[in-house]
Amino acid sequence: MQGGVNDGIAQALTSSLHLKDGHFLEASWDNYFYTRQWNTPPDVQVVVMPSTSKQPGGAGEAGVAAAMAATACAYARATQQVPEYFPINHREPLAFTPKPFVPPIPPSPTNGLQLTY
Amino acid sequence: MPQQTFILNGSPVTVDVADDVRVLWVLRDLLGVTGPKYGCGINVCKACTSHFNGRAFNPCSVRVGDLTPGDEVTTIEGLPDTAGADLHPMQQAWLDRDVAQCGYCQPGQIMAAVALVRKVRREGREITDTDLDTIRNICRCGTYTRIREAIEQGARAM
Repeated sequence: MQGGVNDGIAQALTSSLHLKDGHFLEASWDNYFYTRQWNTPPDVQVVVMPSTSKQPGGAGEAGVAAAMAATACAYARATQQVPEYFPINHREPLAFTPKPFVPPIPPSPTNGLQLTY
Repeated sequence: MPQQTFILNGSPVTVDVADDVRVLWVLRDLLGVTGPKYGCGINVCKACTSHFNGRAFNPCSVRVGDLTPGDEVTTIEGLPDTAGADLHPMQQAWLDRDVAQCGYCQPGQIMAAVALVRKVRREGREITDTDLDTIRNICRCGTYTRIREAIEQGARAM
């Protein structure tokens, strides 16, 4: 459920792929803007309601649809602009530089020891 | 083939491998230490986060030839020993909060968490929401909220 909330937020606002000339421009999870630690809800309370059915049902991904809709409605309320497509930032300029599509694959970086904390 | 020597989880290790092989592959493929996970290989997903001389680093982005014999690499496998216990307090917090869903990113998340708590302690303070916001480790299951709760709990026991 908590993961589904993060999925729904990302689907409404930021996470998409751009297909151009047969290639997806997103090369990694860092380009596909799934929810990250800095834009996740700091507090989530999940209440699973008692079942009213005798049929068993799974709960996987159950949070996604409602969370996406709630985020979209909140965006519309906050900005007075009703979204006409999702995610809302999809048509904005790319916030990353696409990787090359021709071999060789770029090598892994070598500067890791300059980035310790 | 050059010999590479460094300290892995408290014990010296020597492997025959070229200088420019990234440490992640030395750990995983040559030494069989698979706690550091391969996610991206370009230092953006942070799934391989481990410790270099006690500080968080990403072995996918370090040439093994850049390690010296005195350098200490600690992976999730060696984390409990740094606390002198069967589990590091951060690992216990992870279990108490039932953080993991698929689990793939979690070793890196825990190593990043421990390093972040140590970093703010060096700065003479405790961890804040702003500090937690700086963690770049990706969790595609979206366990972020529980990760935050576990780090706060683990920090109290560190």
